[in-house]
Amino acid sequence: MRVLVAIGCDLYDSDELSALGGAENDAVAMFDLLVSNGGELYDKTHSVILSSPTVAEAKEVLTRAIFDAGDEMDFSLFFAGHGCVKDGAYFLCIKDTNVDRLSVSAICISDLFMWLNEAKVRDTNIVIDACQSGGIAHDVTAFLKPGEIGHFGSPSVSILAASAGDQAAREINGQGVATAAILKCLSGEVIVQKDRPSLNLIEIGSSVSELMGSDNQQSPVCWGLNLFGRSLFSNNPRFVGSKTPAIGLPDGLCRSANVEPIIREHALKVWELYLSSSRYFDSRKFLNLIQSLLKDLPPESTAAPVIVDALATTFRPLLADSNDPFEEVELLGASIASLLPYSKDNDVVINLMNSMAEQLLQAICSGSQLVLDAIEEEKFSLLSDRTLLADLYYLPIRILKILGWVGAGQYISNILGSGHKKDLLVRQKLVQAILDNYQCSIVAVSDEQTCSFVVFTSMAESMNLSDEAELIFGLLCNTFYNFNGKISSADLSGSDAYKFIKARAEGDGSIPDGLISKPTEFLSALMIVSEKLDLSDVVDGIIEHFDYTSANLFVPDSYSDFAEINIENGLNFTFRIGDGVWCVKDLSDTWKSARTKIAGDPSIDIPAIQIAAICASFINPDRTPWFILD
Amino acid sequence: MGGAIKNMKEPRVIPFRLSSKLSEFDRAFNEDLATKLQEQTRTIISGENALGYSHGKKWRTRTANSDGEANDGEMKTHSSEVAIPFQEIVDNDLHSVSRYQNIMISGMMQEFMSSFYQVISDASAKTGNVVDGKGEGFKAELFVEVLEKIEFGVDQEGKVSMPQIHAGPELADKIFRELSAQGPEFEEKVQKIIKRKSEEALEREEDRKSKFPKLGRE
Repeated sequence: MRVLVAIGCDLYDSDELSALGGAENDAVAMFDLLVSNGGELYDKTHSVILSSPTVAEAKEVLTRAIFDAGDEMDFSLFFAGHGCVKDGAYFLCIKDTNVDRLSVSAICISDLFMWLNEAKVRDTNIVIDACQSGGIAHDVTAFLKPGEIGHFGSPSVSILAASAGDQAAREINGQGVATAAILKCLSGEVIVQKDRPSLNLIEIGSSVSELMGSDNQQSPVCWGLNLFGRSLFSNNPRFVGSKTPAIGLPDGLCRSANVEPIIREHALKVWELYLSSSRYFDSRKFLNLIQSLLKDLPPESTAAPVIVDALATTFRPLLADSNDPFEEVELLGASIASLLPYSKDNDVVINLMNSMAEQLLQAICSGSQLVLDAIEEEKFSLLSDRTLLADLYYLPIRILKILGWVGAGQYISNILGSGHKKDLLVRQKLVQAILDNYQCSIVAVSDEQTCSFVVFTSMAESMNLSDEAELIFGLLCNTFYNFNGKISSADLSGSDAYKFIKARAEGDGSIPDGLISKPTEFLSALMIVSEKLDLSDVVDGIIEHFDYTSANLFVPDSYSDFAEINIENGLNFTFRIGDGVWCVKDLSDTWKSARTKIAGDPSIDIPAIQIAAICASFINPDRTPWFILD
Repeated sequence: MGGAIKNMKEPRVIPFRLSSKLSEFDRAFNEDLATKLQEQTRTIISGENALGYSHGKKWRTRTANSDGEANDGEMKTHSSEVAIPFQEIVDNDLHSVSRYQNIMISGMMQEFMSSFYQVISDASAKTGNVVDGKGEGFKAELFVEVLEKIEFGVDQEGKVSMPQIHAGPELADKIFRELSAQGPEFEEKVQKIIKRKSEEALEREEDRKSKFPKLGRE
């Protein structure tokens, strides 16, 4: 059952809270659109509208709606009126609210969360058109501290606040500005999307933000987390097409009784990651968290794509304002990679992977454009804003990651057949800008550069960047030679990276063994790529310098395991320079065996699996998608 | 250690920020810097005489030699700043790590030594332990006068600790030449003073030790 409580409060007893003229109108309009004229989505018997109620009346209605609605209850609240933040808590001000006694004379959002938690409400949507409504974030953060209030029970919460925590929410012509924008989306006057029969609050929030984008006085805040799938807030009047969306995912929440407890069990960890992601998004943590959640699902469950889609959908708006445009790229990459184990003979999963790959391509294109603009505006913009010396290690990795994702963009574009000339031009310009400004930072530092190097060089010809690829190959080859083939293992800690750089400066003899990648996949990549670029003579000219260096190519038994932290089933093709391999040509037998092994897994012929495997390599860069060179 | 980019529009686009790893790198750099700085300061003040405090910025000490008078001290902040050109990082100049570390250590040590001499100078002026060369430069007689004014110490192992001479390279060279030019009589005179001063130091130490209660040993 889905219940809406709509509260509009125009009248206030306190002199400190001025009377409003549009709050009741807003609540009526919202109730009419969602309940009275909204078809069957909301329960007409239990949904309630209140106009300028007292606190006692409002609390009575809210608690009755939440606790008396029975099991499997979804709850939506719309509030228009005054609101304020006090001592880190957010309060909805009602008719008889006394601003000096908010805790007893207003509705505290923390209390509301506690009621929802106790009643085990599954899906909660909250829309607040009131001043400082973005301040509601304080309450959620406080609520999430285990031990203080308890574990947050609702794995599906979406909140749309009309203004930021320090902003006023305005009314024009008897209507809240934000509510007017929301109503435009709900009525179909503004198209939110046309692919699914329902709308969720997150996508409505994105459209409202766009509609109010030019408003400097009021910026709506929208966020939420839905682990059960895409939540429902309203019907979508602009939906065209069949009842079943193209991907095949069910519209709405995953209601399976054997899945719900598992999702609830992981909800707190996901919430914690969600909240920390507004500062810094860690794609590997995200991938690991999804993997641990999905592994707990019963074998027969079909919830995996629903959960992954829901998580990607709710994390994306959070990263939209990040100053790292590649956070969104890695979010989508990690989401696609997480689906690998569920992709076998599963059209829904493959469709979802393809759909996400399209979004990933767009994110790579827009991220590339932003990075290009940044370099053109300030040539040192790829340097960290926190510390400089660390970039002696991390800048070469950062540059290769950019080049790698640029190559991945081309790969996806080729597969999906959705390439635009404009996007190709951005890729070309970005690579050129990097070569113009950061040539000396194209340095072989770590084995974690292997994936990026392989993906970029394999796509260079397709991007008309063969000359640039040769130059990049030469720079990496030269630095690999200068440091005697000693590069660091993938994923060193920051303190080990410092030790590595310090030792490298003193001479490679002082680099501790534990920090060096042994065997290295980077040398294998240099040798195989040199043949592809017809530059094997370059490697042959220096290969003696790498005498005794062990190198490797890892190929999994099945690419469905390729996103695992440790891939148990697979084969390491290991060789040593000066022991059967004296020149690039000597690697051909090993490379041939590796290719045969790759071909032994038929799943790698599926384009969506290829894209997912490449994404997995970017998120966990201790593996290389060798199939891309085949 | 700071090297944050200034003069750039904030917030700016930074792909792959790797924030936590950069912080770890920075922490390792700072720890390394602190260790090296400590090694340098230990060449001036032994670890036995170095105290570390968790609270407060001031201290008050009373010693047996201070006749009950309190010695007050206060912590001083030593800092050093270094500017790293962005281009050096973009050029992947690995030697910049040790170069900037050395510049910072040298800057910090300069401030440390300046405070160190100030403390010695203040203490000497207070006790009258000042030998004035009257603008005539270093003379061997001044050296004897200095020795006579100094009280030797005894370390925890009961060994007499000899005084140190801190001088710039030019003065050190002059002292060495002046003292070497003196004859055996001068050498004998100095040795006698050292012997006497050492005996006095050991006597003082014995006297100090005798003040502990000797329960069950008398």
